Amino acid sequence: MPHPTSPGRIARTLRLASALALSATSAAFAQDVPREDTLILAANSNGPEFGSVGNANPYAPGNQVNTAPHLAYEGLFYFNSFTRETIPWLATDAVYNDAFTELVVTIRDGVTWSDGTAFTAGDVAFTLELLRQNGAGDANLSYAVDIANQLTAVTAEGNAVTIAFNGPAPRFLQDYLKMHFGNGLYILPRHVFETVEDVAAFTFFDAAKGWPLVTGAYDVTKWTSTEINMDRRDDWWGATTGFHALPEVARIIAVPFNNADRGAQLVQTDAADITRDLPVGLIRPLVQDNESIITFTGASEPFGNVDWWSTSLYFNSLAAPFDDARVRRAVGLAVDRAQLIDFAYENASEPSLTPYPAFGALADYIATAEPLAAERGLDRQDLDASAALMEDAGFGRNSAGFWEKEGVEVGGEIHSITAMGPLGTLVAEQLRRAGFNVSFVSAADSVARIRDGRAVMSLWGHHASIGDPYATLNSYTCAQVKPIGEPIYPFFSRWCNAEYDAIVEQIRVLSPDDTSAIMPLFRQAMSIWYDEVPEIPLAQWYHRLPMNTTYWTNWPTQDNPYIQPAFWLTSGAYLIANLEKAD
Amino acid sequence: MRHVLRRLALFALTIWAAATLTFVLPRLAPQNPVAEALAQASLTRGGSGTGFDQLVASYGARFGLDRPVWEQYLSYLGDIARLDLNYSISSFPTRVSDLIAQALPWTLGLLVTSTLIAFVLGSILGALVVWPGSPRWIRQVTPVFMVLSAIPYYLIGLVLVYFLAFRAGIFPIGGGRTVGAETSISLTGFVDILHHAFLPGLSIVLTSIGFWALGMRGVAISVQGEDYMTFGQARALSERRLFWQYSMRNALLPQVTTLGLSLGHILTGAILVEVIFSYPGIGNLLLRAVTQNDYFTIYGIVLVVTLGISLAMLILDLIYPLLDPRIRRTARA
Repeated sequence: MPHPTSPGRIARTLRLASALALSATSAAFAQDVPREDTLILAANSNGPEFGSVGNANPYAPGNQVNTAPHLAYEGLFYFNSFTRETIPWLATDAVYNDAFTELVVTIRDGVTWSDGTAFTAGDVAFTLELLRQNGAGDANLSYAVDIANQLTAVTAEGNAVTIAFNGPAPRFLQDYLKMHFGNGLYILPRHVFETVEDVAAFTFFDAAKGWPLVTGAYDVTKWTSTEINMDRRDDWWGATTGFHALPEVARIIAVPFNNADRGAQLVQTDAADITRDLPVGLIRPLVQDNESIITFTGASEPFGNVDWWSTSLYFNSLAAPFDDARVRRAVGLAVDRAQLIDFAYENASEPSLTPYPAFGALADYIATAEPLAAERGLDRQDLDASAALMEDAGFGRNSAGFWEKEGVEVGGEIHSITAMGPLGTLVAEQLRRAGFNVSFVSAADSVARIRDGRAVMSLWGHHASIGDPYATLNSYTCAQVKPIGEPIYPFFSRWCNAEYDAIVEQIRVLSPDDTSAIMPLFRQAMSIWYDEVPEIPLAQWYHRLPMNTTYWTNWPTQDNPYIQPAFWLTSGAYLIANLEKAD
Repeated sequence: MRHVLRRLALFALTIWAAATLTFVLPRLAPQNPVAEALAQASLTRGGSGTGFDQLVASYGARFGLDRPVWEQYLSYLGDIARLDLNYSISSFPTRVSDLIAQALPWTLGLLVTSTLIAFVLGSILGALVVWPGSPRWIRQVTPVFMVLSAIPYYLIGLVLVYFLAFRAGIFPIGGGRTVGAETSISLTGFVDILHHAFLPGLSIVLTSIGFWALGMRGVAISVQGEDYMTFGQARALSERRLFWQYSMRNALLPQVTTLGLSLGHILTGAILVEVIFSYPGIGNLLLRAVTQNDYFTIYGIVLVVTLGISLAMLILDLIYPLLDPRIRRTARA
């Protein structure tokens, strides 16, 4: 009996489908710019898509310009945290008066915006004044309140921008005018923004108009939720004036990073040239199995460079029982950093006894602080000392072996982001063995809990000090503290000490280069800090970025550390300008 | 006519109830979505964080979140009536309608197509399994699909990605199209999209065929025993005609009901597939909106899903009489 289907027909259909699928490989990278002239970045994203698409205004709330469009913006100066070198770019010089109440910045001649208009001191003055006035008024622009709290006036005359402060501001130049990590202000074109009524709502993106107007070598030509294209302008001022060679990258394409697995896949298949951070477990086999993929340290541990985000176990010092310094110190004595490095980072990291990143500029300060930790036994695990402290604080062990007082166990959840998972799980286990009933949690609302003080402990980094210790010291002052339930950002330690504050205030008015004056004050402040233990420093944080040399070379490495390789930082444009085509 | 009006009224009531629940539920979480969005954007920035509260307040006012809840609710209902889905909090200044419009075609294209392919293949397979004289290989292949249907499609997806994309390099690892590919409508672009959709689509088809085959098999067995089948054989009607016009057609009605329901739920089932294959569809958009407490995007997506399911049910209710003359005769009687 004949059947209504025909296997032959089915087979023919399948063959046709396969041919179609395979022919689609010819559609791969259908570009007018060859792959070897294109740099592909796997950039920060909300899952498989970019957020805040089309918002090129670096001061609009919630903007994610530093996904990739920031690579078209340039800074007045760049700062190399490896070598402590300041690289003049749009500006040539910056000089303070003796009291650090006035700063004069000299703008470089010959710089132009992408529409050909001259870039002037007026643009710099306009940008700072815009932020200052907004901070004193609507306060709906990023950095505005920061600027308003420090500046009294900004004027421009010729090539000079004069910035007047309401008090000594010796770090304003470093923190706001030098592009490094997340620091540095982008300058806005006055001739566009002076006509904008609501700057916070102004997105500054229109490819047809050539917006965003930038001084950088690239125009943003395409911006969707899955791809950002930036094409080189051959009339970039840097090349036409002879200041710097035209970047060899003709087109930058940013695609969503999504997650570490996808990032590793992209770079391994040459579909990306550099990605966001990868964990040790992914990057080790990646570089060891692929000659074309390198890291800052080549194919060797730690597979990356130190970042400002050194990691600590933070306490909510307003929440019992962690409002008791003895309890905080007892927790600190339960931590075995060597074991954390061994298991969480596969021995490819460094323990940290201080809240500072191990940059060269901070080496002397770290060397001063570490003995202070050692004197208090905070440089090693000592379960007996930990137990003694808890008993001194009035706690006893219950039947489950956990510390308890008046029926309440000492413990809680350690909250953090998922990237902290390996570290957090180990820390929790170490603390449990020392009698603290804790667990590690990384939930969708973990960051909100940490920020609002609803988490008693958290794992987090620091984005503060790079060149001198003030920024980190300042993050522990009483001004940063709010009651539980009120959000504080970006510093989460709700610890306050008036004596400590007074010392930090003295450091605030000193030049960051005045190490001899800062050091004794630093030692005093850190002595109080280690007595009180607002947090437990654990490990350095490394940017482990895979860099694919198939198409591009001259990536920053430990042998050639000309800038931070993290392209999403405000120094990203300098990185791009120095990449070279592979042979 | 009365039937149509009744169904339309039920449709409107369903939309209202879903919209109200959707408005209330996200707000039970203690997070401030504006603060979350601004904190997320600030994670890599410097600055002392001074003024964060003011920024949150002014940004929140832009979304009307500073108004009393009842006022926000009424405004929300009015927006829905006008299909104005407001701005996305986490992706400002993109409008929610634009986010959904960008994401929906990917989800519909992938999941609707895959579901329909699985439906057609599975229904044919299920009917053939019980058809006397169907080739032996049908009976050998069908259990394989039954087993596959017990495996979560995202596991199949991971296996396909590993072998066919990562190892063999025949298909891309993820994404909706090739990096840098032209977005204009062209044959090359269409083939590129198909190329990227093949693996996610295949994972859905492989794990869904068994489900449809099983359902169809059950109904087809009972149809085989109907008098009209016996009469058709007695009248020496061709096998092809008996199979397609009598057996399949009568067994299809319950399958169509299930198809309508599953198409309506496609959007909610898209999440895992889109996460694994980095597919820029509604599932991923919803996941992000929920984790970031982006109220307006959540409202918009749920509205779309509710509309989709309700519309699917409405259409099914209205076309049933066309599919089954018995329902038409009953209604007239």
